[in-house]
Amino acid sequence: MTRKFTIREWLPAVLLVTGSFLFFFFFYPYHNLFKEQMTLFLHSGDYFFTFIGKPAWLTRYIGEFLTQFYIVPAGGALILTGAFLAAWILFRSYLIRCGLQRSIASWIALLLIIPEFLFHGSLYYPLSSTLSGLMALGAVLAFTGLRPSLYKWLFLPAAPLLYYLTGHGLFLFTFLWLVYGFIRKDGKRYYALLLLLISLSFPLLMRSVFQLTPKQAYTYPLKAPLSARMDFTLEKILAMDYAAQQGNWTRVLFLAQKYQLNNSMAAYYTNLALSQTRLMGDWLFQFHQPGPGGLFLPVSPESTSLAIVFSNEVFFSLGDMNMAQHSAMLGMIFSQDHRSVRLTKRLAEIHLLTEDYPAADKYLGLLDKTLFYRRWPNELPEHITLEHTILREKIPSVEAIRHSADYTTSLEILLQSHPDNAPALDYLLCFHLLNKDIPGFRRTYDTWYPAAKNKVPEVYAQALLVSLYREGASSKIIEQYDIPAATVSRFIEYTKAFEKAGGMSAPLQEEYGKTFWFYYHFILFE
Amino acid sequence: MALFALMLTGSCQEKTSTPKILEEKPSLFPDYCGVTIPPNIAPLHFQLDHPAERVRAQVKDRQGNTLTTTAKEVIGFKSAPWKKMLLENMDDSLFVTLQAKYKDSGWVEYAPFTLYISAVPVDNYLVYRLIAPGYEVFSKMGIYQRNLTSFKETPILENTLVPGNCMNCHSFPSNSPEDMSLHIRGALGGTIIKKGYQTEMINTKADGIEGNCVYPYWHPSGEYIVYSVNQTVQVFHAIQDKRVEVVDLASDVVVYHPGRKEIITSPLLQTEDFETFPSFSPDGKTLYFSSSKFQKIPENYQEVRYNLCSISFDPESGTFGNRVDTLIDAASMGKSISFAKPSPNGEYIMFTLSDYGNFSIWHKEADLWMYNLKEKTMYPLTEANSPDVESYHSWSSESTWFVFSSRRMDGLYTRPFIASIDKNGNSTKPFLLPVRNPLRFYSFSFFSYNVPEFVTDKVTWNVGKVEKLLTSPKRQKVTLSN
Repeated sequence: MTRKFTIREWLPAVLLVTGSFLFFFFFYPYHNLFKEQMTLFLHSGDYFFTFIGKPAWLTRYIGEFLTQFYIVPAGGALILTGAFLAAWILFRSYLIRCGLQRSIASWIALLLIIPEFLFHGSLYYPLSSTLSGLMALGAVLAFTGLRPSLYKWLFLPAAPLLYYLTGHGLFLFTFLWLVYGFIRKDGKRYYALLLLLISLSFPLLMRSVFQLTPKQAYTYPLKAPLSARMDFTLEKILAMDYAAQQGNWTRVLFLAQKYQLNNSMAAYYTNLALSQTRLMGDWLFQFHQPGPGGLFLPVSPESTSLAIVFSNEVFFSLGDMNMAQHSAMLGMIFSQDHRSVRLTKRLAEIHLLTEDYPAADKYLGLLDKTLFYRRWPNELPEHITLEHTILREKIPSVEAIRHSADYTTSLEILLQSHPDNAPALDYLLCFHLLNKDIPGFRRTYDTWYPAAKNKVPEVYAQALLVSLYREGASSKIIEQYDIPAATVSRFIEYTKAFEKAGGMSAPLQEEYGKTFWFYYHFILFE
Repeated sequence: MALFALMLTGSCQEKTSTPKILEEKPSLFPDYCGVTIPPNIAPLHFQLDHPAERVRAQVKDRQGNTLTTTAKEVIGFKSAPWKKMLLENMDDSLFVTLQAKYKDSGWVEYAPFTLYISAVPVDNYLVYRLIAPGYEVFSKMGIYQRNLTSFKETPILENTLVPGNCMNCHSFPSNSPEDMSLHIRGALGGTIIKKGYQTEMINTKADGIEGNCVYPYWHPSGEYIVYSVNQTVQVFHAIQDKRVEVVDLASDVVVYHPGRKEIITSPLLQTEDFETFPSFSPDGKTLYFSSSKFQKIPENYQEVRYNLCSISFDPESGTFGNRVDTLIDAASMGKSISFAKPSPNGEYIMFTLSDYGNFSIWHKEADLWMYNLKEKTMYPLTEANSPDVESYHSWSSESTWFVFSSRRMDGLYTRPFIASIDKNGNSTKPFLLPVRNPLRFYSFSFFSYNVPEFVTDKVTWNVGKVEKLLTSPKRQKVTLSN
C-alpha cells in the first residue's frame, strides 16, 4: 500500500529547492562562476590519477567534474540545489530510521542542511565537501539496513575506505553510525568507544603517508577555514570581475557606479574599465580611489590568493606580457588545486600574443581536454581577436629589467617601446596622481602626453594646475597647456574655499569631493 | 560454433594488407630514435607525432628475439620482457620497426630506428623537486624520488606538511641516499641534514656569515658540505624573449662540517666578488666554484659573468690553499659559467654556459659544456643541447650517465633528460625521463622538474620525525671556525 505524503513532510523540501535555486541563480551567482574558473577538469585518465594520492579522492574528482557545469549561473544553482535536496532526503531517511516522525524528520533535516547552504557562500568551500557528507550519509543508511552483527563489524573495513574516498566524511559517518547503534542498543559501549577512537585516530595514523598536517588530515577535502557567511561585497566584486572577463567595460563602470564600493579590488576593476574606455583622465575621481593600490594589486607572500589571481588583468590589458605571465602563473599556483581554466586561457592568450607557440600549444592542449573550452580558440569573438592585434602592438621592444612591484619602470618601458600606448600613459599619469607625486606626474605628462595630441582631460588639467601653481608658472606657460578656462576658474575657487575651510575637508566635500585637489589634500592611502 | 570461432577470429585479428614501406624514420614523442639507454631503464613508451588509427611496434635484437605490441596511440611495453630484452642486449643495439595505419594511406612501415643499450646501468633513483614556475612566492611543491627501473614516483617531502614553506637544494654525497642535505625557506626555514638514520635541523646562518647556506655539494667523504651563501634579488625582463633573472647582490662560499657544527671558510672565498655554485673534486682535494667580478646590481646585471675557478682543500685539516686558480676565463669570452659538476671519475667537469649571470634556467642560450681536466679543453655537449634552455645537471655514480633540466619541450617547464658520455667525452642523444603516457603526462603537468639528482637507491627517512624537526622552533646553531 502506498502512503500519502503530507504537505508538512514535503514543504521543507519545496522551500529548500526553491530557496536554494533562486538564491544561487539570482542573488549569488558570481561565487559559483568564479569557482568554475578556478578549476580545470580534464577528460583524461591521466588526470584522474592525479587525485588518488590524497584522501577524499573520489569526492574531489566528482566535485571538480560537477563544478565545470558552474560555467553558467543555472549550472551552479541546479547542482547545489540537487546536492542539498539529496542531503535532505538522506538525512530525513536516517532520522526516520532513528525513529523520528516523518514530518519532524523533514524539518530537522532541513535545519541540518542550512549550515551546508551557508558554507557555500564562501569562495573556498568546494562542492567535494558536500559530496563527502552525501557519501557518508549514503554509507550510514546502507549500514542501517544490515543485520546487527554486520552493522558492528563492517565498520572496521568501511572506515578507512570511506576516509580514502571522502576524507572528512568519515567523521559524519562515525557519528551517525554511533547514534544509530546507540538507539538500536547494539553492542557494548566500550566497543563503540573503541571504534570512535579508531575513526578519530585514523587520519592521524595515515597523515604521514599522505604528507598532510594534522589539520589537513582531519578536514580534507576542505582546504580553507570554514565560513558560514554570505559575502555580498565579494559577490559584487566578482560581478565586476565577470564583466571584465567578458570585456564588457561599460557594465563594469555601471556596476562600479551602482555599488559604490570602498574597496581596492573594486577600484582595480573600475580603473581598468576607465582605462579601456579612455575615460581615466576625466573620471578617475568619480569613483572611490584607495591610492595606488587601486591600480595594481600587489603580488607578494602577504597578498590574498584572490588578489594574485586578479593581478594579471591590468598587465595583460596594458601589453606587459612578461608581468602578465608572471602574475597568471602565480594565480594558477594559488588557486585551490593549483590549476585554473581561467588562468590556463590567459596563459594561452599571452603566449599566442608573444608568438611563443610551443608554450601556447601546451595550454591549448589542456583546454582541448575540457568539456567547454575545447573550441575556445576557434570561437574567440571578433572584438577579442581585434583586441589581441592591438595588444600585440603594445608589447615592449625596449629591454630593461625591473622588480615586480616597480610599476613606474614597467609603465615607462611600455611607453618607451610604444609612445601611443594610451592606457599605459593613463596608468602612469594616474599612478603618480594617486601617489600624490606631482613632479612625477608633470615629468610624465611633459614627456609623453604631447604625443597623444588630445585635449587635456579634466583630472590631468587639475593636476597640471597644482604643478604649475607650485612652480609659480607664468600665465604664458599656463596657456601652453591648453587647460580649459572653467577648470582654471574652479581651481581659483577651490583655493579660496580651501583657505577658508582651515584644513577641514567637510566644507569642501560636496563641491570638490570628486576632484584631484580634494584627493591631494584630504585622502589617505588605504 | 564454427561461426562463433570465425567471428572471434575476425574481431581479434587486425586485417592487414602489406604495408607500404617508407624510407623515413617515424617522428615520435618523445624522440627516442637513436638514443642510448641504460640496461635498467623502465620501458620507453612513445607515440607518433601524427595520430594514426592503429600503431604496431616490433623491437628486435640481432638474435631475432622480438617484442611486439599494438596500440591505438601510445606504444608501451610490459616491464618483464622489456627488462629481459635489455639485459640480453647490453652493449648492443635493438631495432624498432613501427607500422602505422592512417585513415588516408592505410598501413605504412617506417624505416627501423635503433635503441643502443649501454652496458652501464644508471643509478636506480632520480630525486627532483616538482614546483610550478612561480618565482618569488610559493605554494604547492615537493621533493620526489622516481624509481628509474619502473614508473613509480614517491614523495620524499611535500610542503603540504609545512604549508607556505619552500623546499629546495637537496643534495647527496657521491649519489648515496644514506646522507642528504635539504634546505627549507620560509617561516619554518632551516637545513635538514640526514646522516644515515640520524636527522637534524640546523640554522646555517653563523655569526659573521651574511645569509643562509643555499647551494650545497657534499664532500665525497661525507664529512663536509660546501655551500654558497647568496643574497639574491629577483627582477623581470621587459621584452618577451627573456623573462626573469635572479641576481646575486653578494655571494660567498663556505664549507660546513656537520660533525663539529662548524663553518669553515677562507678570505679567498669571501671576497667582494661573487662566488657561487661550489663543488668538490671526486678526491675531495679541490673545490671548484664560479666566480664573477663584483658588479653593481641591477644596473650592470648583464656584466655579471662567472669564471670557473678552483682552490685546493685539505680534508684532513679542513683548510684551504692560498691561491685561487681560474680554470676557464669565461668572462673574457663574454660568457658565464654555472653548475660546475666534476664527473665521479675525475676526468671531466660539466657546466652550463650562458651569456651572463647565474640564472641560466631562464636563459634560452644556456647550454651544457664539458671541461676535460686532463687536456684542459672545453667543448659543447652538442648532442645534448637544444635551441632552448639546458641548465641544471648531475652525474650518475659511475660517470657515464648524466641528467639535465631542459625547457626544450615548451620553453616554460623544465623536464629531465638523461644521456650518457661516450669514450670520447661526447654526449649521446638524450632521452626524456620515461613515463607511461609521455605526451599526456608532460602536457598536463604544471610542474617543473627542478634540481634532478641521481641516487643509487631509495631515500628512506621517517617523515614524522622530519615533520617534528621542521615544526619545532629548535634549530641547531652553527659556529664560524676561527
